[in-house]
Amino acid sequence: MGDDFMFIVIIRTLVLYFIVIFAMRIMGKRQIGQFEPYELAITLMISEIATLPMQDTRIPILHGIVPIITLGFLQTMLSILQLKIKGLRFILNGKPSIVIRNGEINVNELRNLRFNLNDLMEEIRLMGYLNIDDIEIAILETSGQLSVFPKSSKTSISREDMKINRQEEKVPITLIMDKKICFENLKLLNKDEDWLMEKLNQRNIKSPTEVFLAVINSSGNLHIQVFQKKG
Amino acid sequence: MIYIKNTVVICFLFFSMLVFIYIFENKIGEFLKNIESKADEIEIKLDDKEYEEAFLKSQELYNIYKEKMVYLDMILNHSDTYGLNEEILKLTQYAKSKSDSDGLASVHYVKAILRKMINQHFISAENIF
Repeated sequence: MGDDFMFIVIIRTLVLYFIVIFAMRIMGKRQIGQFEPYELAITLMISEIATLPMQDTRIPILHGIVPIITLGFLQTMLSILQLKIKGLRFILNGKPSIVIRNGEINVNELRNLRFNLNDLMEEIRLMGYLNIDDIEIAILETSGQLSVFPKSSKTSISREDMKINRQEEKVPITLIMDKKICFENLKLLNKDEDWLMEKLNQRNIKSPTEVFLAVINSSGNLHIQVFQKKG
Repeated sequence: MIYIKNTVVICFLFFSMLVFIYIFENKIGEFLKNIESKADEIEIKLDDKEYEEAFLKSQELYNIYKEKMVYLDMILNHSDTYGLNEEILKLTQYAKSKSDSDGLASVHYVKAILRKMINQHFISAENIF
């Protein structure tokens, strides 16, 4: 009886875990990285709601599932409405605030945000700048992150400045991963298995099963890594 | 495209859930009212000192409740459903042993818990806040 009880807790945990993952996936990638205030509220609530029926078996599991689905629906609807209604976007997320302009700190804005000078300096240092007068503009985004744009005299020189032409890098494409050929990627390159086998033979590799990773790198060259021999 | 798919999935889930809740809550409400009317009948029998009848009706009530308890457990706090189950079980024995006062106290308790369960299903300011 006691063992069964603990199994129930395990099953409830698994069910709720997958439901929370499903809800987070449905809500989109933004939920994982930067939170807007309303997204943070929903995420905190979901995590809290899920743990209650997980540990207290007297609470029906539906008491966890129903609010999670409801919050998922609410978040999705709010995201859609935000795209359509600008006013709602400002109500839910607030507005980005310019805290530094032309190397001058906007003290009033800092006071309004209750953002102290030490925090601001810390954020700026983390972005790689030591002096406030090196900064053209710094914006405190609605997600709480600070975007810093240095004065043009303080930016690093780009290839464009030096007028150096270089071909754009391509996305690497995996052809063999852990002994298995990625046929879809071969198709993307308009190549077939014979072509791949020929390339392997050129490097004295008889079968894809000897290959840990084969990838067309960003420069367009084939990089092959075989399995290391044991001993 | 993924954004639209996710929106459709969550909307489908949410509205299916609403329909499920509506149907399920209605069924549970009907069941609880049915149990309540059976408890009323037992109370009358105990008042009239028809202990044999009261015992049979309380047993019938216990069997009906036991059979449907799994559905109640899906949406009601288990401490309430188990508490009610135990009280109905006690009621059967009070009726069998012809214990008037204990039987009536027990049936009142059963009715009070049932009323609480039924009232929990109404969308009211009391339940929301």
